[in-house]
Amino acid sequence: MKPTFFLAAFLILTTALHGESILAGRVLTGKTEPAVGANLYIKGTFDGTSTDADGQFHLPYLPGDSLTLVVSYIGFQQLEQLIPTGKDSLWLEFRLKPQASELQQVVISAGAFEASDEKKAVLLKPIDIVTTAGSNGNIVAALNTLPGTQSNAEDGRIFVRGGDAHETQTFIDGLRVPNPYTSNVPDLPVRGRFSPFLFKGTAFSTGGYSAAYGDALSSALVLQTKDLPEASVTSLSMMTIGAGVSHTERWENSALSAGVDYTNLGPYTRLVPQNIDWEDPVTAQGAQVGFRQKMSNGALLKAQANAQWSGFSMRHPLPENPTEQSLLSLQNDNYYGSATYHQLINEEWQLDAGLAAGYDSERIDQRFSVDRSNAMMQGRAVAIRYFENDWALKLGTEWIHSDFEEHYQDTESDIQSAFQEDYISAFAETEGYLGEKVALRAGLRADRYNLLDANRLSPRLSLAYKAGQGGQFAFAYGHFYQAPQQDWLRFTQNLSPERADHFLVNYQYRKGGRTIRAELYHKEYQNLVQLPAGTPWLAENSGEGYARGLDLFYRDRVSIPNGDFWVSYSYLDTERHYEDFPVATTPDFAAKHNLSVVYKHWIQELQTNVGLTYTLGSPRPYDDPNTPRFNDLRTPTFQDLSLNLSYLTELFGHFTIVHASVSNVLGFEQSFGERFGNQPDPNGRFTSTAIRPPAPRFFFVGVFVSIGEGSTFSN
Amino acid sequence: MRALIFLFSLVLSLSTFAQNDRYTAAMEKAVGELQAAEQTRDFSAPANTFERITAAAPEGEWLPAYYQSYCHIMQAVGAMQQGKPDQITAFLEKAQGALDKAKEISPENPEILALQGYIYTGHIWADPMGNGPMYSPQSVAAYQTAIEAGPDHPRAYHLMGMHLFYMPAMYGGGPERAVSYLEKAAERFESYEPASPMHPAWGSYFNQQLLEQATAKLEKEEK
Repeated sequence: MKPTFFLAAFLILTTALHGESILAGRVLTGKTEPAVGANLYIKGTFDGTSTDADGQFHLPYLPGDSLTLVVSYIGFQQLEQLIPTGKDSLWLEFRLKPQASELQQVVISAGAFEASDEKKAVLLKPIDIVTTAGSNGNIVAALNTLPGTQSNAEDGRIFVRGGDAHETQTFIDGLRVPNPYTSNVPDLPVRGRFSPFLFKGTAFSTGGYSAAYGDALSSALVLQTKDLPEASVTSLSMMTIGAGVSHTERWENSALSAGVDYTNLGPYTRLVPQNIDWEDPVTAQGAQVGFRQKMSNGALLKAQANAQWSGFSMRHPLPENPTEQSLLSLQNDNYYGSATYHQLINEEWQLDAGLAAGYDSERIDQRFSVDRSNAMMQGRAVAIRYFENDWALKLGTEWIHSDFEEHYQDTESDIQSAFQEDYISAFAETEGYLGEKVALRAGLRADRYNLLDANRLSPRLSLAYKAGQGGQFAFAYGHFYQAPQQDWLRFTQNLSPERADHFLVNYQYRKGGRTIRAELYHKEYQNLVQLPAGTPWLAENSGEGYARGLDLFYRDRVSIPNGDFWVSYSYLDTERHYEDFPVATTPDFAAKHNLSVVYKHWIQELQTNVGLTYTLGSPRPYDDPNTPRFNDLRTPTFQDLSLNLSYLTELFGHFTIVHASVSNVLGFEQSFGERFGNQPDPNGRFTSTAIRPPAPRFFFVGVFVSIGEGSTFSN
Repeated sequence: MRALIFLFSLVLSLSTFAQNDRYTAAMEKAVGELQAAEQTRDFSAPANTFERITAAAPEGEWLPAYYQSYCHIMQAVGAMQQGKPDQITAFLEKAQGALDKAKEISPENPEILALQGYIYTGHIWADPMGNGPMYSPQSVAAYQTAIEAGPDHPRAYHLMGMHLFYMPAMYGGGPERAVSYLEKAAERFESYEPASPMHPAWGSYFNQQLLEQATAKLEKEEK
């Protein structure tokens, strides 16, 4: 007992001799809020304390050498304070700064809508795209519920802010996709060609986008394919319109997947009333393979290839002769393959490289025949240099070669046209922060259009300024060029790239599951293709136009328990004087007002997700050649309410989703104006056919089964 | 005299090994705080204490960072029970930071690998529909790696059982699948001897509770 007693006394004595002092004070977050339970400790020792309910602390210490006091609190930046030697007792007050977490950081937001699992400061998750009612696995339809888009249901493509559909380019892993939509005849809606389940991230820009993307006047849709899948899985799908099977095998550092699908609308169109008189309803066969390899140096190699063969025929009146039905058929073959390589060379350098090739051939027959083929090859390389101060410099180059051929035949004419295009670009872009409140992205892109013998330089600038907690202003400006459409290039190559200048101002506020966003924009078009006297051989770049408007977006994931909704409203004012327009006027694809309301509700007891999407598009102009004024007719207001149900269950012990959806639940009268013939009838009148959806409603039921471990939402 | 010599040598050794002894003492005190917190469910005190120790721990000691991470996960559990999804994420991010330190010190450690799975599971609480598809396979994979690294350790089985118990059957969860893991965990909680009183020993009480709940559910289903 004795030694222990001595030891205790000895220790107490030494401590007393040294003489203890007190560090005391208060820790605050913001101006007056106390930080409760903040951690204070002396660096290099185990001595410390926590703040009380008032944010106050008392920390006895031995004042000897100078020491460093560390203040740490969850969600706030760690502080270190040097305590000088020889001080007895000190009163200290600390104000902590919020941690620059991704959610609070200022981000480039003008024009940008992003869906990602990896980034936190995004408005959407990939799953949101899949569960949007009315989308039926079509990425494009889901994106058409975002502000800045149009509900042009007779077309199906994305129309952004007064821009024509071809002004949106689609990129997969940085590589441009030449035919992102399924093939169809005019007035029948197309779909996105790629399944949303292939992608881990979707960035949809409605303007002011990065210099990394070119040859697009209005919009860039940037899709990122998934990396290594989590596990091996077999997916089966059985639908009212077809079936599919795919398998993914995952090894430690690689994965291989293959799948086939078959679509046949035959049985469905016989069961459900159709507006179209089908001869051979749509059939399609698809095949996909994918490969992923993680290299020993940490690099990731991704390769995939898709093939799709589709076709149909129907009895369809020619606008010139609406009473007589003539057979119209379409056959499309599409192949697309790409390989990308991604490597973080060290902490400073990243390399991304890619190659892609595609071939698309289309044949349309109806008293005339069109044989069209498009071959494409491209390469792209991007190097990114990361600097210590959070700045990054991106340098890239790309080359796209395309080969276009068309053969048109009717009783009177036989026209062959072909051209080859080489598009070569280089870009440099820097992105980073100026202090805590300002984010900046500035880039410059140089484009070489070989066919047009034109060189163009496009500056791009994007700024964001953080205004208070959760709020930020953003601004974007840029020049955007795009080659004229193949429809004109096949007649004359004596053209130059079309141009659009974007100005965007945006305010965004987000707090705890709610986001509100407003964006004003102005877009100025120059050098648009004009067809003097409606003659494509005489096409020239004398057209111009503008688009301006306001986009509003509100998303709320918290106000309704288990409910999640977003509302998009777009106001658009646009006119252009281009193609065969005799005057500057609003084109037929542009509606002044567009509204989408997307609601999703998760019913826990039924393990069911219910989705509702309401879309409204105000009347759009179209032309009746029988009247003297151009584009003076109006389509009726478009409305649609789509409903979907996803029931999550088990089938023979495997994860299963039963999905059912129906469009136009309330039976709105949907029509999109008329299509007129090119020639007047013997009485001098132009006859027309009405443009209507293929069916008043579309019903869909599908069962998706995943066989494998941890296999949620993989089909 | 003998006592004096003893005392003298003790003081000497005290100054030589003071740092290590202070570490041991601090750890003993902190583990005590942790045990108290398991009752009160307020883990802020041990979280702070372990954070201090982690910052000044002797080289090669993974336990302080491990426990710091564990405390933050428990704080995330608290945030989940109070329905504060933003806080769940903040706590889990801090837990991940601490666990990354522990991993660096002891890479193939089954206890640390199991905790990694726990963090992934935690992210699902913050947003089940949004985070589930990504984090659920990751956490299952982490538990499996932990089990392979230390088949006789109980906690990876326990956490896997917990994960499966709360995961709906169609995602590959449910009481039936959970029970097999919880039972294996229970056997190992019986037999497994921690390397020291300071080594991880948590989980057996909750495992027992879960096992009872899961068995009760199964019996109900059979009826």
